[in-house]
Amino acid sequence: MSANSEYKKAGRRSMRPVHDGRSFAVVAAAGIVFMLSCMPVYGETSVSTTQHIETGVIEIDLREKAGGNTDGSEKEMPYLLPGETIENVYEIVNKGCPCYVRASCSFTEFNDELEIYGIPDEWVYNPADGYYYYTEVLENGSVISFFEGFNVPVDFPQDNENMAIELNVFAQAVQAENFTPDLASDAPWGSIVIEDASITKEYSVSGRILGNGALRVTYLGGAEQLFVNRNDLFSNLPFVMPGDVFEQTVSLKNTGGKAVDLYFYTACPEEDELLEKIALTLRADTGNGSRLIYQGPLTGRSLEGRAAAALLGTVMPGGTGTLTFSLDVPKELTNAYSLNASEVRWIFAAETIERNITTVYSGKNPNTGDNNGTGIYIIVLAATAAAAAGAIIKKRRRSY
Amino acid sequence: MKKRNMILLSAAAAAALTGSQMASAWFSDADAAVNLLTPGGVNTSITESFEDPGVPEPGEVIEKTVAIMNNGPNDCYVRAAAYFSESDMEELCEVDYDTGHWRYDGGWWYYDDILETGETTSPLFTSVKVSENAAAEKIHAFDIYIVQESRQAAGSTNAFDAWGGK
Repeated sequence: MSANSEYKKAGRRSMRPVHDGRSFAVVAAAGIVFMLSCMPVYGETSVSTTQHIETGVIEIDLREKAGGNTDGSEKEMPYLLPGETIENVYEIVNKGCPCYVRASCSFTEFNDELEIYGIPDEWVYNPADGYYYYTEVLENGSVISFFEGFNVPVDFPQDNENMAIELNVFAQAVQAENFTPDLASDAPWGSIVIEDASITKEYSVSGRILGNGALRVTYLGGAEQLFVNRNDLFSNLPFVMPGDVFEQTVSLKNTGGKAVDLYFYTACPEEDELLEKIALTLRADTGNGSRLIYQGPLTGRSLEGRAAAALLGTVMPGGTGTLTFSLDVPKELTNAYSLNASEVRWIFAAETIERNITTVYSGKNPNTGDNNGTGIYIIVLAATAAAAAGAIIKKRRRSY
Repeated sequence: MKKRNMILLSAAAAAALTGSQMASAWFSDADAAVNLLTPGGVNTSITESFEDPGVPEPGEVIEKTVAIMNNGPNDCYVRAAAYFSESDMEELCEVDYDTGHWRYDGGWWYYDDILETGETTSPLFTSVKVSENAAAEKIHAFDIYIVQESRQAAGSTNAFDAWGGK
């Protein structure tokens, strides 16, 4: 039996004069039906977006061009002879995300006598730690020269003919995002630990096409549907790096003629260490000031599923609101998290709030936060109780 | 009490900040290259073929071939000189220096070409002839000392240049 037919029956019954002992029940039933007719009822629509997250990588390649061979192939080094200039170009190639680079060079013998030359002006030597620091950001695909070779002094002794001298060149890179070297310091990179990236898989950090504009979540009243204007919430999200903080504001809009309650929940991947490390903060404002909706790992497990959905607020007919997402990537992430890709699905749900319609939503009643109808229910309930009490008293008086 | 709480809070915040700075990792990479270098050198030696003739006769031609071999790892320039142990015999002898490949200057014969590693010069001379006019009683045994020097070819344009000459 539908609520609507029950209302009609109740309506017919309410037309009959009340003269017997069933008066209280009849009047009470009528009141409850009236209440039901005044309670909000709900129709739900939802839409999902999938946020893709991919971390960047720092990878450099130290390349040697010995003896002037420019194809990078191995070439036997010439013997060191007094007064000789040994062409021995070392280059650094950035294969990953933008980075800062430092490098060092040393000889296991005659380190003070053998002198490198051809160091570009962009390099600054720091005697405190022995590194040359490249003062500019090295972009993806860029190639810079460290030095062009070294000079053998004219008084280089000849009695070392069978000696083996090692020329050791080291290059290190650290992400340029969120990191700024202090070149005035004795330790421009501080005390950070440089790790070998050891990349074994193919990747490209240059071919990513990013979208523009903010995400809009719109409830279209005519279609009674929620729409989003694109899939990824952070359409302009680059390869995320430790220390990154991103904020994106989603506009919420209700073009219909009924108020809607907007909900947000997630569909979590099973196990995802990266998403567990990234912090998500959600703040919503539907006209009553900004409210903290969620703060925790990006997985959003506490918001997983419709039953755990967070109410963003009620958007009145023609009204708007905002939902602000903040992502905080911890700077403690190590290379183990580079080139990680993951995704999280976010679902927006809208429930229309209709009044004076007798269709009763049979699902879970959400916490709408809208208490405007409560007073009416109390008044109706009080009136019903008073009517029932009056009927009983009247009957008792008549029986005397 | 409030002041004490604020101090504790500030200390905690400072500790947290310091901790986070120390724990900073960032994405990074390192690469290294090791190049093995060997000091070069020049090592040359005299090669000669010679049979001791004893006391030569006037007009006798003594076969003696002198050349310089490069035994070292690098190309070089060479110069050499021949000295008679007896000056009177030097006046009675004629040495057939190879003036086509060697040039004389200041007491030294300079080899014109770069002597590549493992190679040998053309002979500085191949014989010493005792003058036919020399009196037999003035002829006596003598030695010819050969001195040679070599310098790396790298950095020089010719043998004279290698020794700072013209």
